[in-house]
Amino acid sequence: MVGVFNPGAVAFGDKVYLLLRVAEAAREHRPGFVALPRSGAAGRVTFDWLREDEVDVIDSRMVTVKATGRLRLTNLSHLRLAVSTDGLALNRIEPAPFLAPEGGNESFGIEDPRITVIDGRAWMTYVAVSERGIATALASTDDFQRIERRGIIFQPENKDVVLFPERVDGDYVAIHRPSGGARFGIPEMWIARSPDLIHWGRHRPLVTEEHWPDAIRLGAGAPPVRTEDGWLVIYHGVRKSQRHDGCPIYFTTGMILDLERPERVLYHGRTPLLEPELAHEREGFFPNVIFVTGCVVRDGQVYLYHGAADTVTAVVSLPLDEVVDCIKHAPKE
Amino acid sequence: MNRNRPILERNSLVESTNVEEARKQREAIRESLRGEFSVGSDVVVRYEENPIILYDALPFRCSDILNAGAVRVGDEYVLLLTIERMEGNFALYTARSKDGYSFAINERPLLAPMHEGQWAIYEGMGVLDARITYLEDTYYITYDALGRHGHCLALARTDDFESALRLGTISEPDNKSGALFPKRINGRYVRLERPWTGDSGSIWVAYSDDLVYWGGYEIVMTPREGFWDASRIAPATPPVEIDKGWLFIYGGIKDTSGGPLFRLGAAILDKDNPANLLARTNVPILTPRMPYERVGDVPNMVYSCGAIVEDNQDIKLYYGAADSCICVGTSTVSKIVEACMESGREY
Repeated sequence: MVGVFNPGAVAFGDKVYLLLRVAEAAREHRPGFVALPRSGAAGRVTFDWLREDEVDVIDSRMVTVKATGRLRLTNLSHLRLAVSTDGLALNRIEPAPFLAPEGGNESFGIEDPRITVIDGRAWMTYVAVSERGIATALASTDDFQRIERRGIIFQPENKDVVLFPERVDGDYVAIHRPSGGARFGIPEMWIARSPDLIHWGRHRPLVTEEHWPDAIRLGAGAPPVRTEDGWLVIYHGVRKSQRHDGCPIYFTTGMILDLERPERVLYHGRTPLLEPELAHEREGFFPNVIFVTGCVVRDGQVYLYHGAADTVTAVVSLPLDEVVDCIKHAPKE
Repeated sequence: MNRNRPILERNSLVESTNVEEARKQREAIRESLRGEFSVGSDVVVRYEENPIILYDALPFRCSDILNAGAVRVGDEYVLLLTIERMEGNFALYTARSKDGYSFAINERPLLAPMHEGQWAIYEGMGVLDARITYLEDTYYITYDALGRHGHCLALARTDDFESALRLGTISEPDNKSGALFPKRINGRYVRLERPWTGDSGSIWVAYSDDLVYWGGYEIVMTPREGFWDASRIAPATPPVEIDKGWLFIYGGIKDTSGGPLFRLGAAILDKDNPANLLARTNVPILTPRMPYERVGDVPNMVYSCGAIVEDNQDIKLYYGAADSCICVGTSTVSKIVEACMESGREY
């Protein structure tokens, strides 16, 4: 196993459910070869063993296959459910996968779930990776036991999709992060609406490089949370940091959107709320990463569930009013 | 077309030598081609007077002509040309013909990039690659809105090709080559498209109840290793209904050390479930062979956005050659279906 990270998190009933991304790689090592996992028929995992000179290593997570010019992951992820009563200690981690790769859209794994409860039902977006690209799919459950797949809702390349917990003007709303091959700028956050969670339209840019000129990419983190000041959206950015020898770092920030018209950003966070500082954030399978994927508010505290360094799952709690204040009173540049 | 517009006269004065030379060159090329190139292996037969539209025949100056959507409107053949304007952006211009070969081109674009208003951010660099579908008593145009955020599919509607109503973007970036089916399937609108993933590209299908919100995405066809469409594929023409299902032309790209080769093939999809591919040509139906297909802004390219099926089931396939002129080729529905079926399911 490579790590357990980037958890979807939601308060449901009297419990907090975490949906953990479990990334695995080949146990076997063959000198001079890299093992590229693939999920096939009936979920059977096989490895394509390529000679080291047949690939270009991009980072610990992926390689480019020279013959095709296409990306392959060095690890394969599935999703596993954990339950907590207090939101901090895990009472149980299910022994079997909650959701495992299935079909041609998921042959390289499923990743980075986000969970939103809408009208009593839990909706999960997750990243489906395959030869066909990186897309976002939807699944739902009303008891965290039986799960219903609803297919691809955002086509390649699109990830970091979060659903709003309530309808706005009768529409479901999502933030997504398209990042196709012909882009002229950096991958940035868009917002879209839907009548049914399956069909999406009215796509609009939401947070762009204008707001984070030094970012390499941006993406929604946790599903939005309603506050008195508007929708609180915690998201991540990636930039090259002077403090980390120019390595890319994943930081966490936030914004507040208009409750009635979430296409309108009321307050942009202009400084990171969290940056990788602790050892488990700075060292791991992919270092210098804090990647918030779940946000639960309980008794005035915000619990930010996140993956750290693509290796472990962690949580940070902050007073809600401090987070909102920090975003509202961010220094204008 | 009014060739006597003052602006044309002025341009002609400025560029009279070049225009005259271009005409002579074109004539010379046509003359040199007759009977000298073996093009018999293509299912689509080139019109001997190709190219039928060159930039020097337009009533205004432009950089080049890329491709054309095509539709039959009453007794007229109507093309929607993608033209790269002198400034470098793209706009769509209507062209009309009685015979399908000789076209008069409008002076004003039907759709041009908006520089203010709600669509400006999506199409500041151009509107291009129009595909036309007659659906529920109106003509829908799916096109590529190119702006600083990338390529989005966009939709417009027209009844007369003199003015069009924008209905907005219908995808997130990057997505290209959207083509609507000419009728609903199981009550839903359907489109083919090519979401762009950078290192590959496949044809997908999407569904909608209202032409605004789209979903139900499924993959239809992927590039095939070892074939002419090995690197990327995209829908070319909107599908037409035939006995066996839905027939459409698609573009296949094969990367070579000399750059990409853009060719055309065809496929047939299941009538009730268009994600179900029934047949696909193992060989291209049209390959760049002629000098005007080999040389231009983008060399070695035949690229289609529209075909017209005549009442007798003849097909006129309009295609852009080398991103620099419009050509037409003819075939029949049965010949193209045969080319699809010959392949069986060997893909």
